[in-house]
Amino acid sequence: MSRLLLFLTALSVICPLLWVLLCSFRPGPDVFIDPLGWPRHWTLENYRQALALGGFTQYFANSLWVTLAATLLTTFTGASLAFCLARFRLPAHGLAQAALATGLILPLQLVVLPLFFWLKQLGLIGTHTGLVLVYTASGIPYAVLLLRGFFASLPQELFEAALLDGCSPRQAFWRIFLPLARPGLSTVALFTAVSIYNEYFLAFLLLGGMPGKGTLPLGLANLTIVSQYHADFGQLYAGLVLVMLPSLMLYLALHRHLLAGLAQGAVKG
Amino acid sequence: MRCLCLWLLLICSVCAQPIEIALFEGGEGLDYFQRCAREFGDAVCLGDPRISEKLRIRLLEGKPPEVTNASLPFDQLIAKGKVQALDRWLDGPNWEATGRWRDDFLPGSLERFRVGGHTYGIPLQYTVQACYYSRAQFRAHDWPPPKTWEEWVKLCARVEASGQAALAFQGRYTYYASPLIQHCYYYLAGPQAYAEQFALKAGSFDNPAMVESLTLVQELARNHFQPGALGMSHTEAQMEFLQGHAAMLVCGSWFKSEMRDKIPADFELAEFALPPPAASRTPPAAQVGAGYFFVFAESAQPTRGVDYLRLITSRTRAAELVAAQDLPVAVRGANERLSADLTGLREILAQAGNSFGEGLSVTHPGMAQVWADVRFDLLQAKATPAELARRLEAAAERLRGKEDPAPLFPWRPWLLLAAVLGLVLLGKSPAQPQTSNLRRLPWPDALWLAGPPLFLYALFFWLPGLSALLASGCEWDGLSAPQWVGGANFRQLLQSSPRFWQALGNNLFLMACIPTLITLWSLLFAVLLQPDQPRHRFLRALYFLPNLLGIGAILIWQQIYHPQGPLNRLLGWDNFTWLSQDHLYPSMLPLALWSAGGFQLVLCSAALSQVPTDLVDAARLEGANRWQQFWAVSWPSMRGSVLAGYFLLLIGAVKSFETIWLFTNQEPTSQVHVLGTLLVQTAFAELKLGEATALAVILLVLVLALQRALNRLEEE
Repeated sequence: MSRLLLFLTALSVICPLLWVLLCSFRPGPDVFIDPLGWPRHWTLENYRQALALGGFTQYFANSLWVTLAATLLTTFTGASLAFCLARFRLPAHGLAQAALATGLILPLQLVVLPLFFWLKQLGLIGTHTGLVLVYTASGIPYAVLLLRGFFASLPQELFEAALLDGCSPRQAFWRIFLPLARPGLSTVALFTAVSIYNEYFLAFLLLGGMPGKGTLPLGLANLTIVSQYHADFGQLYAGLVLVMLPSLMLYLALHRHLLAGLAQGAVKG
Repeated sequence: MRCLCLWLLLICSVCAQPIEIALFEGGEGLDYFQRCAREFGDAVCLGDPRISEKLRIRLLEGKPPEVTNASLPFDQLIAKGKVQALDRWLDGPNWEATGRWRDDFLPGSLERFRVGGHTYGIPLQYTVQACYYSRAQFRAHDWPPPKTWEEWVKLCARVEASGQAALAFQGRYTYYASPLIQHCYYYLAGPQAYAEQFALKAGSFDNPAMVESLTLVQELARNHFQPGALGMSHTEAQMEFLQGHAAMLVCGSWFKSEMRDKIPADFELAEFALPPPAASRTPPAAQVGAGYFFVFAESAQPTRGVDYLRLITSRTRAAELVAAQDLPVAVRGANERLSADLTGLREILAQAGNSFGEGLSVTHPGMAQVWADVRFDLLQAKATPAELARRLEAAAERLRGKEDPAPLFPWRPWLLLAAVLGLVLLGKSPAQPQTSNLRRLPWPDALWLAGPPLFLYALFFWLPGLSALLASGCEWDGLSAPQWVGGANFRQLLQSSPRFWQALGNNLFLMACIPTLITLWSLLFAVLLQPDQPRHRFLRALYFLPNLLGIGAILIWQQIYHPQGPLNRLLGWDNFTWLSQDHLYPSMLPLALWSAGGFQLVLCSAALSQVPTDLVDAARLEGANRWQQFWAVSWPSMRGSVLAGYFLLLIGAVKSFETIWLFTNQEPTSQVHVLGTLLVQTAFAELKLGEATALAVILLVLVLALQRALNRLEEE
């Protein structure tokens, strides 16, 4: 009984994904007529159109740059802040802690309107730089939350020894703690990267108006609308496969590590 | 190709920036405008089905394009001086220099955007409402095109007797019902009374002619719309018509170009005028609308934008548009080139001694929402025509009244406040970690290590967050400076906005259902996957996988829920509308479980694996059953982590935006808003930024109160 339940659930995860994959190789109108049918004519036309007409190469390049930049920035700034909070008393320590904790739950909707005009004043609206900075700022609380426990759990003796050997706290961080925190860093980096790669709301508001700047989620959302007007969803299926592929590959390669890191964080937190 | 690119680059670098032409891209395509842009030189067309959303953002950025035909609140923008007045050029020569530009337009078509003696909008495409049918089919069955509404209804019954649906209808977008209502009211009440409705004159909604009009439309919808039509998008319904599943379709004259490649070769498309009720004494008129083009006064090169408009509305060019797209235009002498299967449209225009339509009349923006709701309730038969007429009248009454109306919800704000206070008093603030045993960080290191992240965080998160508190007390449209109005925004939302309470209710539904559902599922599956073996680890990893898909997951489910999609096919439920207003929220639950369950499962599994096995064994030896083992032994030690996950899900439900936004194709109706989508709508579509930030502040207060309450639960 319980095996059947597990199996059916697994099926419900796989089937929708498989269905989209199959549909992406079928001519659009075919799917409209018989959504559950096996592809009779295999075609790559949908992919060609998504890449050429849908502008997916451009979206992909934008997403790649924004995701990489924001992930690196979030992970490293988050790590250095987490290190400070775990090992030292900062001026206004409590305030910083409270600000970070509130940041975890603060609805982005609250921030986004003033943020829009603030970025406009800085000349960063409609630019990738602006979006990267905003992603970093909103990602820091999560990074700190996950990494603070990690830094706190590293042995105190190591830290004392480093300071005795004449390391400044800065050097201790870069030379000793950052390399030791690699497993934690990679978990944080992965989660940050995936959530930024999929992020829609901020990208929509902060980049949406400018042609050629959009990230993949914007491209996908656009494609659903365009598909509706043409009553042909072929491009959308191809777009979905293209967008999901990188996260799926990354997950296939690293899932053990990722889930272990997550579970560890959960138990510690 | 490369040569062309280089050439373009060269032009761009030598000349000024090209002018931007931001166009709504429906099914018609942009060929005409692109061809004109090439002829004009140095102009780029940006086409997009959601161009108006993007333009709203660019307007707030202060960087509008030169020309657009997007649907924006132009009456408001004209009042703010954002739109270029065009009279100087209209009184000058047309593009071909054969006469005055103003004289090139069909009579009345320039009136819509004339404000204070200036003309701001230039009409091009002219849409005519008609009922489409297949002449071949009507001939085969000997069905005559009807002359009166009553004949039409009889015809529908005859069609249905032959085993076919009568009318396909674009029901997912209820504004497709608007032409039918407008049509009936124009003919039953007459042109005078019709115009008075747009001026919100007292009694112009709650009267017998209006009730009769609504009744006619409601009965038509109930008896003769294709089953399932209310869940279909426009293209879906139009496909149903073209595939012969329904005999007729009411649509504007964009129909043919929108469905160009989908019309079967032997279809013989034809159209008749929407037939007036037999009781009508009103002479025939055409129900039309026009696509207007505008030039933004603050764009880089408005004068060149106007020149582009002169080009696209020149007679020879416009005739090309008519020939290429088979669409009527508002330019004189160009419509002769409509093709043979649009003879019906040409006849409607030729026989009409007058024209009417929403597109030609100034609708009060405050009526848009109540109309949308009325149309929905009318089609779904949720209210009687008399009730709906009264509702419209009441809304018009409220808009007419200049003084502050009595609050709609006098007691609800206090109830909300009491609930928030209750949560705050019950709850407690989170425990702060001990810091006294830590050493002090020397300030240069503090600056280097903690400085950059705290600086970024403060600059791009807290600074805007705090200024939101300030902005929530202002009346602010983003185009001019904010005005301090104190608590007016909060009063408006809490006391007089049905949309706000509806959205809050929807949020509460999600907050009640999603976290509980997911947590129960996760606990069950965590127990089922209990001994930590490879097979179970694999399944856990598999269940987690959809958590990484982001909006991909939403879009996949949107396809799964499609009325003719795989799920309905699998269940054999023909055309069940999973994503219509009534079913949307329950339909979100499976998606939520699918796409967010894995995370909580991993948390629960991790927590469960931390429970000491000897305790569980001891309980088993004592004779506790599985349920008792779990509840008495495992649960107390898991509780903290599980509740933390529960809290994250709860916050997610408060903040939800994407699912609703995408499931409703980025235009939620007032019934399905959550606070997040309502905020975006209020801020960017209605340009009420102060009210939107006030909404966000209320959201914040709710979240903070919830957090306090959950801290208590977690620590007990």
